[in-house]
Amino acid sequence: MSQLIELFDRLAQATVTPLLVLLAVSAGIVAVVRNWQLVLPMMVLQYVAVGLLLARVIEPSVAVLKPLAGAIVCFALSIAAQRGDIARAERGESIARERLAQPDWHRLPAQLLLRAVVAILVLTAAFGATIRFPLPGAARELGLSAYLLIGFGLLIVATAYEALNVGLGLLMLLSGFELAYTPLEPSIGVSVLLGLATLLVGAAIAYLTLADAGAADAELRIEN
Amino acid sequence: MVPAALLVVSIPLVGALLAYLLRRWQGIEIGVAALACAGVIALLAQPPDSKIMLPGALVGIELSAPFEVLGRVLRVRATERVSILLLFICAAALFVMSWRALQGRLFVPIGLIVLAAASLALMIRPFVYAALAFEGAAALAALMIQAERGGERSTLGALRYLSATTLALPMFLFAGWAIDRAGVVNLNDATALAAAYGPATVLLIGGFGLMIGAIPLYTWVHPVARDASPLVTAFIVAVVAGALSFLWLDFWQAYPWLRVGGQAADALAVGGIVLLIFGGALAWAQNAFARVLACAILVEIGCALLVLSRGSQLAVEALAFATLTRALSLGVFGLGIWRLRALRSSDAFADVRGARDLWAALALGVGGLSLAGFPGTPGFVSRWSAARAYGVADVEGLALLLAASASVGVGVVRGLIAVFNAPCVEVIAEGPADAQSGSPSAARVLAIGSLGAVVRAAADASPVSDDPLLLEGETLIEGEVLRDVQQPIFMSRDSFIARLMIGLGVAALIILAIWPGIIAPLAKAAAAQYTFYP
Repeated sequence: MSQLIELFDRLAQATVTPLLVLLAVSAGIVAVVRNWQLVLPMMVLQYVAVGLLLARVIEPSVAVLKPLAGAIVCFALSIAAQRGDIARAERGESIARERLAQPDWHRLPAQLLLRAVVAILVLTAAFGATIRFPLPGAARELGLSAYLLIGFGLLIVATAYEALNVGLGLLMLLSGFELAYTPLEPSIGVSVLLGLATLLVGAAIAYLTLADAGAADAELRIEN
Repeated sequence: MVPAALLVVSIPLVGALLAYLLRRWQGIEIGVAALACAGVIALLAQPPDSKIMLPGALVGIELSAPFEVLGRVLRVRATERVSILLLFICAAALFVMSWRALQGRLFVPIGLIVLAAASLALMIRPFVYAALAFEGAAALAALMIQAERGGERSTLGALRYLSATTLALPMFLFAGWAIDRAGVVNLNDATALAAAYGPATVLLIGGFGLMIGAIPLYTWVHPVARDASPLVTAFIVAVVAGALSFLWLDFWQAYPWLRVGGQAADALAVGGIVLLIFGGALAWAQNAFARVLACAILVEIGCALLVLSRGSQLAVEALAFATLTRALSLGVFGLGIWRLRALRSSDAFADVRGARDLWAALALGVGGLSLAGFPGTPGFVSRWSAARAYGVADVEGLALLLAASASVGVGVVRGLIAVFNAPCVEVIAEGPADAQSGSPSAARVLAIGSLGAVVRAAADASPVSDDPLLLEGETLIEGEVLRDVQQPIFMSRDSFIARLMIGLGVAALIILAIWPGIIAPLAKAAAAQYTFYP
């Protein structure tokens, strides 16, 4: 464990640009693509980047909680999404893997293009906000990361209607707020409580993902 | 000595675990929940600063002893003691009402955890950590709202509630930071006060408004009322929104700059007025009981905001009194909705026509009219005390409160007319004219209690009709012949216990209406602990 924390610390002290690029790319993909098989691995990478950025302002042993909590949440969400896909497949509806293997090129470009244009606008707004309204107490890179995640999180919450995607938007919002708030109060208590909030929201989203796919009833039948 | 704060949080948590394990035996599950609530109520009923030595135990309980978690202090202070006690009474009443009126298999266990989180939010200092407790409560409440329902777009209510609370979380956190940064400011210097505490005030008001469902206007209240089981909605409004109201009283108590500045009080009053206009404008025209419930909740929240805007002893008393009456009224009204949903799989007026279920009508009538503040109900006493607390100087505000309450009443009466007036499927099959001859006019008038019902009944009894001949299993709704797809979904709806719960709930409301003095001492005790008013 100590070696992991040491590695985490070293990575955190390394150059920040790749972390920012990783955050922007992952947030952009989550906002544009609505396929959990692509999106959830991106979220895991995003949590790692958020953890590394947090390690620049708080103890790495505390910052490592964020990627750990994020990984657990993404794992739970992937199981829920998989169950949801099984239920959809039983009903003869299209599932994530099929959509990835055989994209509907007649419908896809319009949706993707619209989301991509809005994502670029959010990206620009985040850069602008970082310069015009720098966050108190935070280094500029943390401010940019926070604005990126908050902007993309709000975009997803406002545009998505499936529980999984709205939930990912909420989780992204939470990460963004954590990046903005942790430099103001770099305490273990806040980090632990925010990590706990991430876990609880993740659990709720996993349940709602099952319900959204109509898989909750099946779960209930199995249990009974 | 064991700090009481630890017990206030841990007793419901242990109760939740037991209730979850025993959820197959609903009576035992409810018993465990009621016992857990009763335990905390008994504990908090002790005088402040008291030390309790349990017989035969080596350790005692100290009511106001601090308990530290992650560097934050939890303590049952004199100001929160009665507030938390009221929340536990509301929760216990709603748990007992849900016996045989299934609200989802997770209602009781998660309800107990949400109750623990709400208590934690009131006891923890600094206040900003309360937002984290509410966030946890919202994440769990989302499971309660969703219950066992499934299907596309079925998760809207749960998602809206979770989103609103998540958006409010950073506002509280940043408000805490802004308060710490502001330092000491002369309270008589309005300009310096606005400069130092302006951002904190805006953030606190924003976070509070988002969590309580005031901003934006059409946020989680309607979707939750539509999607969740009715008692779950009642629980969230009574316990979580109740805890938020008490949290705001703690803000008044702890932050003199918030009171002196005047911005927060103005914002609360404006928010209350807007909610009254919105809820009142919509309530009378709704076409489903769940929608009427949502509008009634908006009016209740609006009324609470108006009362909160007045930092007076009377306002605290009115708020404490309203917390209990609101829980009971929402619970009884919710039982009526549950019964209709059990009967017809829907609570839309069009779908419940001809249901003629007296128990449902009784619950909807008494609970709904209490929500509307109808004279002779505890809701009237609550509205009256709210009007006194708000002050007679603002006549427009009081008129608006009256009109919004009346609008809720009209919505309830329209629903009751639908329940009794329209012909039911079985009777229609025999012929429209015959159907009316068998209608229980006396019961209608008794339950609805309005001249409109009598007029409507007379109109329906007209022998001349152009209605088409209906086959068995078809219903005539507003000129359209619809296949009857409404089947009873819960066989337990006719159980003795379910009817007993409705009867007890209605009896409790009637007793409270006749003798509001039962809970007045509690309200006065709550108000006596606060010292922020002149």
